[in-house]
Amino acid sequence: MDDISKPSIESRINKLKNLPALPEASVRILEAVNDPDVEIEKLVKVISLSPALVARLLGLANSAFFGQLNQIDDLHTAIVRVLGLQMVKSLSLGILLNVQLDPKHCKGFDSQSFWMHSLITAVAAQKLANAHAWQSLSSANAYTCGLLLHIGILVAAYAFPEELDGILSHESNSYLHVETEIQRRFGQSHYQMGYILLKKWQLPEFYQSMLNQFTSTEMPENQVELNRCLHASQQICYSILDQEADDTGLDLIAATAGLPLETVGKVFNALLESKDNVQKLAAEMGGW
Amino acid sequence: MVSGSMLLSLDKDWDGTNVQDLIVDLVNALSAVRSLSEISCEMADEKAVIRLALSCLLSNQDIERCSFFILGDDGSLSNVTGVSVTEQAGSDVLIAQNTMSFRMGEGIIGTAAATGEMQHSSNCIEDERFTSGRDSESMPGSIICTPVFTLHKELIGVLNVSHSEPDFFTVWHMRLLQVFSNILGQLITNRRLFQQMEIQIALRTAELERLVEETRRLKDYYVSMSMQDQLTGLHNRRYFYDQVELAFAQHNRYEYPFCLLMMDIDHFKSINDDFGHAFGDEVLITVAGALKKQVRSTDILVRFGGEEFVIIFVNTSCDNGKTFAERIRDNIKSLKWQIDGKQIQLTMSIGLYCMVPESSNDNRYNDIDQIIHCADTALYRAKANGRDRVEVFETGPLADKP
Repeated sequence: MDDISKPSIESRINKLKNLPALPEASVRILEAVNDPDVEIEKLVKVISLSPALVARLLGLANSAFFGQLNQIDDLHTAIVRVLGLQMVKSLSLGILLNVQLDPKHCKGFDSQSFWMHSLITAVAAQKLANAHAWQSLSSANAYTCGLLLHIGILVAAYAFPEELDGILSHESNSYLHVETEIQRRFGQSHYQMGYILLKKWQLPEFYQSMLNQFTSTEMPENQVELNRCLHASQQICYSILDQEADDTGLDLIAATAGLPLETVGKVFNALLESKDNVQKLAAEMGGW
Repeated sequence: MVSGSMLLSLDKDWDGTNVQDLIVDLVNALSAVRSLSEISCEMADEKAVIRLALSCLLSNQDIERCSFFILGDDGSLSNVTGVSVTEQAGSDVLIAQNTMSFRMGEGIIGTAAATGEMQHSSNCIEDERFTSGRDSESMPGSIICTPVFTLHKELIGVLNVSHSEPDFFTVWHMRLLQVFSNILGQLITNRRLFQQMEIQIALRTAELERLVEETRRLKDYYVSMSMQDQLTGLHNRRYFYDQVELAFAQHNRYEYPFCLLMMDIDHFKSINDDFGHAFGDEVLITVAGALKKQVRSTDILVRFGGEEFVIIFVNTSCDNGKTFAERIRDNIKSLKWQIDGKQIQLTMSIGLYCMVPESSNDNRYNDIDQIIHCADTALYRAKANGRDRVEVFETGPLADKP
């Protein structure tokens, strides 16, 4: 496993047609997909719970075949205006039923934890964007960015299960540790691996560079706000999922992101309350 | 056009039984075709068209490398362009196979060209169609080579797609490549036709432009011919009437005075009679040359007919006009010719009419023919008064020329 070369990582990621939707979100999605009378808003909302589905649908909506003049960067437009209900339902159903992680090969991967990380980061980003009213950042885009921030870990779990297991079976399963280890063993960060996937799947440039530039120190002007928002969301998420979740680090998070402490505190508390309750967490996602 | 190896793989390779992969494959295939269909055949460079087409394939498919080998005049297939996934990522590294070429029937690419059928190798290392001597590092795991034809079924070249893994391609890839290569063939055919048409148009346009230019030169030539006296090179009577309008207009608008000189070589007829027309012509040419030196570029000098010349000195007062006229008379008198051992000298009579602002109040003088008539009258008086002199037309009742 020490010998995974960069080209072979890229080659394997480029072969991925789909990623697993995660069992935690699957039940709700399945319900919605199987309901012939499902309201489109509800379908959009439940699909928004799955990083894999969101990435896949956004990518397809932007593929050349649909010939959209402008990039489609939100799920609602992708489903309603481009792909159509029927295709989305069929594709989602196929992914839910057929694309699954093989627990034999990657025992250490905790899909519940991955999902919580993705969702909390997404909701935090959405709330921060809402509260702060950044000029160049809509709350829907912020949510999607947060949801896709860790998709590289899902890529690793699905495409390199044994290699990732080697990392996960060690002591700490904190994402900070996982992040460092992936960088060390794969020769690139999971953000980079996520970037390769989003590029191959032809997601809008916005999402690609969000991952490509996430840890970069030199940021294009128009990405600074997004990057600050995501870093803050990620830190809030780590604080919440920490065993002894407390708000001691919030002032640092707020200062780094250039946000009022009050805003960060509000978002932190709202998410903290619902962290043990998936239903409540999902409910925390505001409408858009 | 489906080769044996492709038929064999029909059932074996297809693992797209899952609806989610099928949808993704379908959309990707349609995307490749759609982007190919959007390439304009108006591009000048065929290589650029092919390169764009390969990019369409690469960005919408899971293949790693594409290349195109074009059929040359010598019957060999040479690599015109290639793109790989790493290039798509933004680096400009060209695949180090640019100079590769195959003969018809040589290797898998040559076989595709010679048979006109798609060739698929699911494991290149073990495939005998691969010509020996290629280093195994740059050798792909699997490859599909598709011949590309024009609309008239002439071979254009071979489209190759490859992946580093053996057994990578499915029947899905082959079906897409069949459609893709058909459209690519049509695109290249159209581009070539378009190019030929452009060349034809450019040729015809150049020819037309040349003709237009020639016509323009001819027209200019004839215009100048009609305005010019062939013997002396001076302007002629027609030109005079053309230009005199301008002098009149300026006189009327700005009250610029002008002087009109009517000049006639004295006893010219006897020169012609005594020494012949050739000498007469020589005299006229010399006199014309001398007159030319006496006028400014804005003045009007013409040969009015026979041995008669006219000058209009624009923006010139009567006094100055008289001075100029005297100077001309002196100048002509000083000219010398040698013929039959004799030295010949001449004189000139000059009638002058001054057009000064006050005189235009009189309607009679506002017409060029009237003015010429006045100058002519003065000239007649100069002749009558002994020749070799300048006479100014005096205002008063117009005298009739006998």
